[in-house]
Amino acid sequence: MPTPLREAALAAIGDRLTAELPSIALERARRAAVDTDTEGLPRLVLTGTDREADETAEPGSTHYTLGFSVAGYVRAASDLEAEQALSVLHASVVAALAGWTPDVDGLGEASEQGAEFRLYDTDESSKPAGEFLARFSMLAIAPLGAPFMP
Amino acid sequence: MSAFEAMLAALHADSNIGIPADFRRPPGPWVPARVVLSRPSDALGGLGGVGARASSLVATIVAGDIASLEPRRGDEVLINGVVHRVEDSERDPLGLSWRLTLAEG
Repeated sequence: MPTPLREAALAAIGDRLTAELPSIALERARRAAVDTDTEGLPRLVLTGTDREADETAEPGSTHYTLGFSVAGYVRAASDLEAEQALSVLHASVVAALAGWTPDVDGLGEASEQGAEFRLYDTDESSKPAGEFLARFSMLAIAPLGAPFMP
Repeated sequence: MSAFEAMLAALHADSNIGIPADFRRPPGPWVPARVVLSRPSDALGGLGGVGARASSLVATIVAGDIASLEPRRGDEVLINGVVHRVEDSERDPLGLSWRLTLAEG
């Protein structure tokens, strides 16, 4: 069974994050909420999201825009340190991915789309902790009707 | 003493429910009190990702134990040798107790 383009992209992105941020735990396709009291943090969760297809860009090919998100979780000793840790982790993720092109045929450059940040309220978490959700997209090209790796 | 005051005092005095603590408004002196602790854990509304789960730390303190002080953010509660900063406080409708949301470092 050939590898779908989407899976190839997500695997490459996961490998890139692991290589660029070796001290940060990374999980793919996690469904359970992250327990910020007990789990080792900082932590990243990589998830594939939407994808758009354009069959008009090039005869015989489909140009895809593959969406993916990277959620980051931090815990710190103070509210300010948690805010700062969120900024540092987010910036590190953007530095690792934005403008990067995987060395994989058919996959193009990753682009930053935006991010949301949240420090948990004190009545939600007694420990200073928070998360961000960074959204990215990646270009991919495949033969019409065959969204697999060549 | 009203029935509610008596009930509150009995709950805090019960060693299975209440624990000793100290309360102060820095740099003031510590005032001995008893608190009932709870640690509610819940799923937090996420940003569209998998979300998170965390717990808060809440102490209920009898208003009479801390006399004229009305707890507010920045006050401190000493529990089992650990100082917790008060992040939020809410008085019950009868004015008999305070619900303190505490921070942990």
